[in-house]
Amino acid sequence: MPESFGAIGYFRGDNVQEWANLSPSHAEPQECNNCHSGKFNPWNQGAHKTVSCENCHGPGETHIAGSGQPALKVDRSRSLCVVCHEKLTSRPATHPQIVSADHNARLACVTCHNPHSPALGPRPVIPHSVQGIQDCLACHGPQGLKPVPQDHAGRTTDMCLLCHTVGQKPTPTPTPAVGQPASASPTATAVPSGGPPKIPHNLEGRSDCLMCHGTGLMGAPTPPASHAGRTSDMCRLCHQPAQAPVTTSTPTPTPTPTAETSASASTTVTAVPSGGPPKIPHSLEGRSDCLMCHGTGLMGAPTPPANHAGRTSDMCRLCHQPGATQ
Amino acid sequence: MKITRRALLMQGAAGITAGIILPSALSFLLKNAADAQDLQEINLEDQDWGDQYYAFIVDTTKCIGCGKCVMACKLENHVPMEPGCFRTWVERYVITDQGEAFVDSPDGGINGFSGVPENVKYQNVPIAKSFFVPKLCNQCDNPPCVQVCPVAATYKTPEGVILVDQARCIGCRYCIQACPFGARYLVPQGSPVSPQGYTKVADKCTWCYHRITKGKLPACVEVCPAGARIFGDLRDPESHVRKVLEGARVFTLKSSLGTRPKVKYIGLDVAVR
Repeated sequence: MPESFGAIGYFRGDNVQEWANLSPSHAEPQECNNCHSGKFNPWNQGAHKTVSCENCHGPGETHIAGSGQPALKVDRSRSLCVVCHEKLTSRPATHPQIVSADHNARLACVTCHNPHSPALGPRPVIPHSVQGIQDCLACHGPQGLKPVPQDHAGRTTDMCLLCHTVGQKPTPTPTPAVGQPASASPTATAVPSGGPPKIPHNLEGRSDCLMCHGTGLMGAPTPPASHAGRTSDMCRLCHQPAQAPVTTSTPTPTPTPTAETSASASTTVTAVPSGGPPKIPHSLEGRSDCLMCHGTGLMGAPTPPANHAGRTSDMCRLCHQPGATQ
Repeated sequence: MKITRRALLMQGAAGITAGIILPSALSFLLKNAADAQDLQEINLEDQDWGDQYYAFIVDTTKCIGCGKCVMACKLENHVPMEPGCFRTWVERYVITDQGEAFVDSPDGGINGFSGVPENVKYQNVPIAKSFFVPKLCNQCDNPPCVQVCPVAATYKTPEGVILVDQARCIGCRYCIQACPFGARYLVPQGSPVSPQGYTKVADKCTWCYHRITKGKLPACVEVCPAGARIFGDLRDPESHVRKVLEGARVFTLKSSLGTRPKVKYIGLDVAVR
């Protein structure tokens, strides 16, 4: 007869202690909070607060006892999420369920849903038109004007419109409808109706927009205050030429503005003569100070028009390019 | 082991009722024991038996059939991954409009039911209702498994938990036969549950005795995302389990057998056996 038999009842009393002495494998979310408060806090306020950490990450006591080693599993696959959220007849109707084959089947759930706080909330509205914009990340990439949040890292342009919507009309596909008026958006006022203003002149020989538009040279409109800090290499991300860009070095007639662009083009195109600034019809060898001749009319050189008043010789070449060598 | 105090207490006063009356100066020991790094500090010898009396509620209206409880149980208690070895499992019930009931529990539901194709038998039949029913040891107050054990290897602790003394168990399987709920299994060769390495012995749900004696919840309750499993102390008027039991209409499995299960079910359908 074992020593402790009958101590508590008709059994070996020590066995109770033996069972009680076993070590737990599962911890509690509060223990996870000691190191992972960055994950704990959104979790504790989100729709997944009833899902304990170890439900997805597995038993944590060894991880805690080892000060974080071994690392717990982090499963970002769809297969983990559908264990709870695949549509099943047997599940309570109130439980959030999806038919995973019809629910962005090729994307990981965590692309849109933060697993620690999965509710999406209202779809974020894009405060500008997306017409003509192919690559959101050109501006919203990590080096862009307005980078996406860090938790968006690794996402590609074709994903943006899955969550973000243009105005009140959600765009289900990444290809925006051509001609869709951006005025439908209540918040689209930052960008004029019809998208960013078109460039009403040809771009031949012009690479640094701010050389003119930064200073207001020749009546070029200067960027609005909201564009502060933007550099010349960003302009073309939004502003597109109203006419087909000229790719050859020989002067070509300006194409007739199309019906779609004529409205915006006609209002500002008068500042520069059709076809661009006059070419320089002579060699530049040994000549560095344009106004030495053109400022005084020496040797019959044409003098600048009145609206060029105040411009210095180092500005001429910004617009006027050699058209022929003699 | 000094047993005089406990022996007096338990043998003299007809089990647990004694504990209610007697002062429980040491009662906080168990609750505070969770802080103890050294598990040996939980001294059951000083435990005032009867301070706790546990109950378990399964809310079948909430269960989503994810099977996380089954996995957590196996990992927590080193239950063999082999088929047929479960301390808890989840059954799926499908009731057709003709009243026919189909039950399945693939791998005990350990991987959930989302990848499990529906039974061809009811594929084209209108389904009246369907739901999940988690099962575990009912920790009966009148346990037939304890009654039949020929070597007194299974017993009820004063808190109402049925345990198996695997050092004494001879593996006769009588208790497995006696349990009307199928809650017991035989530990297979090579996959011991206890650190002592006993195999070919009976094993069953302990309500995670090593956790609840440290003030923690059973692992299945801890991981349940749907709140379908509720555990607590019946003697604590502020406990969640008391609050739920005072508000909900509950039923037990196979109540006609008179085993007085301490696992209460909310929303238990008549088809569930």
